[in-house]
Amino acid sequence: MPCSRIAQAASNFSCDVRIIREHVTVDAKNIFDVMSLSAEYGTTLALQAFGEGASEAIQELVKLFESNFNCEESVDT
Amino acid sequence: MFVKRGIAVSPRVVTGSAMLLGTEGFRIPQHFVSVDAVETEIARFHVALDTVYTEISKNAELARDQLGKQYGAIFEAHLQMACDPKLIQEIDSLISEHCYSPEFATSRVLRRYAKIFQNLDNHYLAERAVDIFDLEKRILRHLLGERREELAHLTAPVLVLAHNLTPSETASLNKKFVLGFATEVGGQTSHTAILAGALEIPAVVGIGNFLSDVSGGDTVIIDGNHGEVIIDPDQDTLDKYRDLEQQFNSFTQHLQSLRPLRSETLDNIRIHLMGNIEFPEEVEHCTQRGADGIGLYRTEFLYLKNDREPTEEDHYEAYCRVISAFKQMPVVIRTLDLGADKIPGTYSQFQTDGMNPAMGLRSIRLSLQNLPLFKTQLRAILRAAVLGDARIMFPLITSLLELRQAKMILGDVVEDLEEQKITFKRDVPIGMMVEVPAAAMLADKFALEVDFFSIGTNDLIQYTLAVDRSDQNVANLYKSGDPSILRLIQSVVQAGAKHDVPVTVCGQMSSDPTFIPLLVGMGIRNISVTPHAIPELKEIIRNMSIQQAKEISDHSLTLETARDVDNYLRGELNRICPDLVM
Repeated sequence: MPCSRIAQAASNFSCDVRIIREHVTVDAKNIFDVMSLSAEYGTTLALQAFGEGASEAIQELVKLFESNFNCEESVDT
Repeated sequence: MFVKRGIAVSPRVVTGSAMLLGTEGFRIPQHFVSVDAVETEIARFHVALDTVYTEISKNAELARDQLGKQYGAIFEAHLQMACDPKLIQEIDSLISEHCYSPEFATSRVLRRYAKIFQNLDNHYLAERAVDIFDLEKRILRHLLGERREELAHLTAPVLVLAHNLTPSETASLNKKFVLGFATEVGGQTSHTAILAGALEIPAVVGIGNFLSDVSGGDTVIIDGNHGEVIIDPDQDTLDKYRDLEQQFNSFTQHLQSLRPLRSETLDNIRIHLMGNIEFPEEVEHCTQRGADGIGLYRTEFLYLKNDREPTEEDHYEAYCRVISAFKQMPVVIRTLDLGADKIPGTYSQFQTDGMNPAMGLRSIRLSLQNLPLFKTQLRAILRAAVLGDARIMFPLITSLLELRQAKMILGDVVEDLEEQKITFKRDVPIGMMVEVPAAAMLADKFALEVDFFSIGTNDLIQYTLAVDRSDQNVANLYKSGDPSILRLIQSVVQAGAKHDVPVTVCGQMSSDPTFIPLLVGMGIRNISVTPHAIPELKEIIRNMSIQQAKEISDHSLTLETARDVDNYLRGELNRICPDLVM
């Protein structure tokens, strides 16, 4: 469940973390929001963070995406 | 407010509070809380949520240890949902700002999310909606605790909404508390639909997905006349339906007043109106409406009720109750008419992978391959028959050999009973259902070997038109008024008349008021219908003459399409009984 991994990781930071798909921006800490992006493997997403620890948060999330969400399975969402 | 359309299977309209079965299995008793209670209610919600969180963590751990990491991950998503700050905040604010009860707020918010996912064009996410329902269920279970209301222990009236109800679930519904039901799947001839009619509670089936739009406790109207379910109706709609209900009640009272009157035409020809029943309890529905006996006692319920095969005593007891209620009138008992696929547990040895159960091992075919089962039923009927005018009817007879075989087995049972010196009735009339086109075509041959015919229109139409009525893709091709059906019925009636074999029409075609003048005109003098249709049909019969009916049937038989027949018959009915067409 990549969505839950994303929300979990984002929740570790006190800053605002957002994920953007085309015109839709959602709160990365909110699993329902992340799920509702309906992003599949190959979808282009942008990350945004504001506030304390923003750059660490981005780094952490990028790492998560690049590691294929720490799991072997392919990514659907 | 919104309206969902489905298939009307049991008439009348009812308004009440929704209980969702399957996703929930219990209902939310209270929607709102007082302002003073808001603080405690929020605290109560958080306690429940914490408990759920701990519960899911334990499950995640268990799954990880026992099944592997990726299975644990499934529950981690649940965990993430349960601690989602936005979700919690939304529920909190519904409680604090709108005084929603925590149960109602939880259900509302989670169902809204589930709905969003279901509507996304993404199969994977659509299935995640199931996870959300699961979370809802967990939280509600903790919130409600001991106050949880299960279907089996209802204490207040509800309308049951479910994805599907099994026949045994339907049969065990407590009529005192279940005022109506609506399901996502099912068709007009499904067993659940027939049972709803038998219980006489309004029901709509085959609605398609709608459960995620409703929360337990919502006000819902089930319109069993038009096949509509109205969720969260506005005041105007509520008023409209209250008026309709009153109108309907006064019309019913008028029909009730017909009870002591005979069912005969204007020129005094007697048309016997009998009832189709499923349970012994329904005998009352028939006697209350002045039925002329039972034209079709379906015995399938005896086989579905328990997980075990019914004993001879189970059969005997049920038959005695029905037969003794109609001392001077016929009670036609149809032997087992189920497919092997419908019978739970015990008969699994007969289950096959046939792609086409309607043409497979069912009904009399199953009985003839399972003689102990068949003989048990026949023994019970013969024994109970001493109490009145019972008759035996074999379903799905296709060939003369099949009929002769069934009669031979009945003969064996008679011999056994004689040998064992058990009291039974010897000369019980034997009849057959005419529901396979082959039997209709050979009716003149069959007429020499049976005491009566009963035309089962549901199957006759399905087999003649090659339409499975429960298949929504082709259900519109199922037409009672098709000229081919009229011809088949006519040839059976003529064969019966020639050999002095009475013909009854059972099946849903005869419950439809528009077909009554046609059937009577063709020569039908016995009609067996769902009990609630009896008064209405009696009203029609008492307002027409045989001459009029004959003209109607003669003209109908010249028409070329089902649509022409339907339109013509509707017009004629309107002339006979202008008040009736509502």
